[in-house]
Amino acid sequence: MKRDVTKGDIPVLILAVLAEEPCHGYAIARCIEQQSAQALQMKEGSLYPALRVLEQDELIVGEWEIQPSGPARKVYRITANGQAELTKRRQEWDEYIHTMNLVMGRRHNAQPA
Amino acid sequence: MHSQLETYIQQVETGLEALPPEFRECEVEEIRQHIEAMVATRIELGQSETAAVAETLAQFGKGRKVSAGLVRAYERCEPCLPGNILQAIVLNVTAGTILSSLRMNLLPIVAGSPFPLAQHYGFGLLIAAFAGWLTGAFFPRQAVKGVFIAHAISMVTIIATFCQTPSHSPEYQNYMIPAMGIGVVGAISGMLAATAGSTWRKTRLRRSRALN
Repeated sequence: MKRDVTKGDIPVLILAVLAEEPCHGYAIARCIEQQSAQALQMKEGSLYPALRVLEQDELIVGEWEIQPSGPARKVYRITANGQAELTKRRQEWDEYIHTMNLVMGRRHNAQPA
Repeated sequence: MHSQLETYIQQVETGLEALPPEFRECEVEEIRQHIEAMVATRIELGQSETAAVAETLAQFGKGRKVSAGLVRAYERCEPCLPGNILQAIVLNVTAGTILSSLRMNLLPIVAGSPFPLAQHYGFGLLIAAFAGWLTGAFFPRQAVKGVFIAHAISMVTIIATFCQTPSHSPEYQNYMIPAMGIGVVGAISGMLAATAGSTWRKTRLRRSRALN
């Protein structure tokens, strides 16, 4: 099942990717694609406004780094604030899923009866 | 580079006109690298260059949307855009001083306190409004604060001068007290004009983005 990523979810996906390892923009897009088994789709240009907002909020830092081959690339790293934000967002997500399951699970169980 | 890619990058760059050049260059370079990597991957997978470019651009999103999103992101962060508060204050005081001194021909006296002094000559409101509008047009993000501080500095200078004068002759008081009173009105008109100036500038930027 393929789904479009909503704008509001892009920052947390970026944080989740960067929590694993520092990446540049293209690699972040590929990680999201691969880790979601190609299910999550987005306009990749929308990554950049989200990256800027995360930088301004000091949740990530981006630095231009010289590469062994090819031109310098901007590599992003998650900060301590970013880690804390990611933990908070994961908890919120777990709570949301739990709440949804309470309702959806009950209805699912109720239907056969 | 493929001509379609070049056109796309130019479209993004034009859409980022509102950003300072150093930010714009970094954004364009990063987007260029991302797109080139996407195209290279598709070509490696066996697509023709034309098909790879077309699919990449479709996946990346419309150029004007990408640039508009970036400009919005920068607009959240006021210091990133032209118009830090110091620049707004300097422009406002300088414009007020030059305009007042043109009328009064006394640059050393009006420097630092251009607005209340100019009130005495009946041109203060006009000068305050024009200087305020200029500040808004050049530094839209900090204009009103800048104009407020510029007028406050101007008033403090006048009050300090008044307090340090040994003899307060009735003529001097007749000159200073109305100047300070009208100075407050000048400050308000300056801030209103700054709001108008910054609105004008922002509308112009929005229109230029919409055209892209």
